[in-house]
Amino acid sequence: MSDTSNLISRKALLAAGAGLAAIALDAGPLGLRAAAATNATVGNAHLSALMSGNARFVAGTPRCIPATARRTELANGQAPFAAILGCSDSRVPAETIFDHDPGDIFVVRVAGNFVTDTGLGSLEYSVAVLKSELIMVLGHSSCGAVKAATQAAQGETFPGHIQGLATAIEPAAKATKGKAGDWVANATAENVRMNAKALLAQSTILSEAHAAGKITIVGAVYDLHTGKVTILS
Amino acid sequence: MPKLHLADLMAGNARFAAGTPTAQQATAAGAELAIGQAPYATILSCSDSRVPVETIFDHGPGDIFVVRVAGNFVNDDGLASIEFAVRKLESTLVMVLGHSGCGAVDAAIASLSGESFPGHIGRLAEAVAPAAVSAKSQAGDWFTNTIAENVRANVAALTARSAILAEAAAAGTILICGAVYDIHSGTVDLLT
Repeated sequence: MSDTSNLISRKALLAAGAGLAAIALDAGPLGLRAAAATNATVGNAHLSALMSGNARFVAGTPRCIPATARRTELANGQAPFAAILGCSDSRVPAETIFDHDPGDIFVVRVAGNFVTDTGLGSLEYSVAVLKSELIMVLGHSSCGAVKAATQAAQGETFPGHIQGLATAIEPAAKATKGKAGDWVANATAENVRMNAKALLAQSTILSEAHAAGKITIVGAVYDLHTGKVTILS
Repeated sequence: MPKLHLADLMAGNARFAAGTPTAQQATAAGAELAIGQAPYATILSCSDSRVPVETIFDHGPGDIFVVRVAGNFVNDDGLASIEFAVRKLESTLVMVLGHSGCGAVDAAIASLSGESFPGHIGRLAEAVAPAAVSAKSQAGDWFTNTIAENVRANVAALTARSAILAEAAAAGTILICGAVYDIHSGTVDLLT
């Protein structure tokens, strides 16, 4: 076995699990607890890196990906600075729309970009073991899963496990029903906000890291037409 | 048609591994894609930052519907996403993709020795543990064998747990396969 350097660090996991305590959430940007100064500085730098990449993508001037050399370097381990919870939609490849290289972003994808137990476990792994410092929940325009949720909110049902997607996003659809503007667009933003909050509410590892100023959590929406990512406030 | 699509994917990986990708650098001028998506392939892969699916297959936005969770195993919501891709978007190829150096697989092996993990990370180890048990008695490297076994087990789980996928596979409208990505060479190997 030659990939040992990247394997789970038992020490890191123990550290992450030590002294777990409940964290009360205050209202703030996205309803998240206000961040410590170190958190804001590091998190803002990482967020700027991502947003600059998106600007290059929008402008049609992405950097060349130095795949081969980077791959050799990465075979010894990963240290992604950001973790993104995004949608499975084929039009939203996180690395491409942020113009970042392999190794930069840890990515969880499920249709509708909502928090699941194992998705949360993946993000916890990224923060506790790989030391990612930025977590982004990323929704996108014309999301099929969000549209299904708005239909579910009107009584429609879906076959197989697909109903589960609609049910998971239904709270965001119900919260935005009847609001001014486009329902699917409003539900998309609400779904991002709700799931950014859920990260802290459902995970002690993430809420502790956040309170300690080790991670920044943001919500954002990708526009399929323009290619632009907008940070939600 | 599903088989042609598999060849297409594998050819893209060969270009990536050789360091000669040809996929046009994607730009935001996706007016066509803004109208809708028709991804021919759907891939269940790992969250590992070294396995960006579109990049390693040298494909652009719109081509591949992607579910990612650390350990690339089937869960209800991932399954729902794949069903959505097959039923609504008419994806014809479904691939479960594991990779060398997988941290979730390592955690699963460690969990068999009684190691426990904090928070929800334990769920990842639990989900991959059955593959670690199956691979333990196999000849060769346990870690490597568990990676492949986990892919095979989840390929089987797709049809065992989903009537939508089982029916599509039986009708020949989708091809389901398993593969492992080597983070050293960049090569994807199909499992038989």
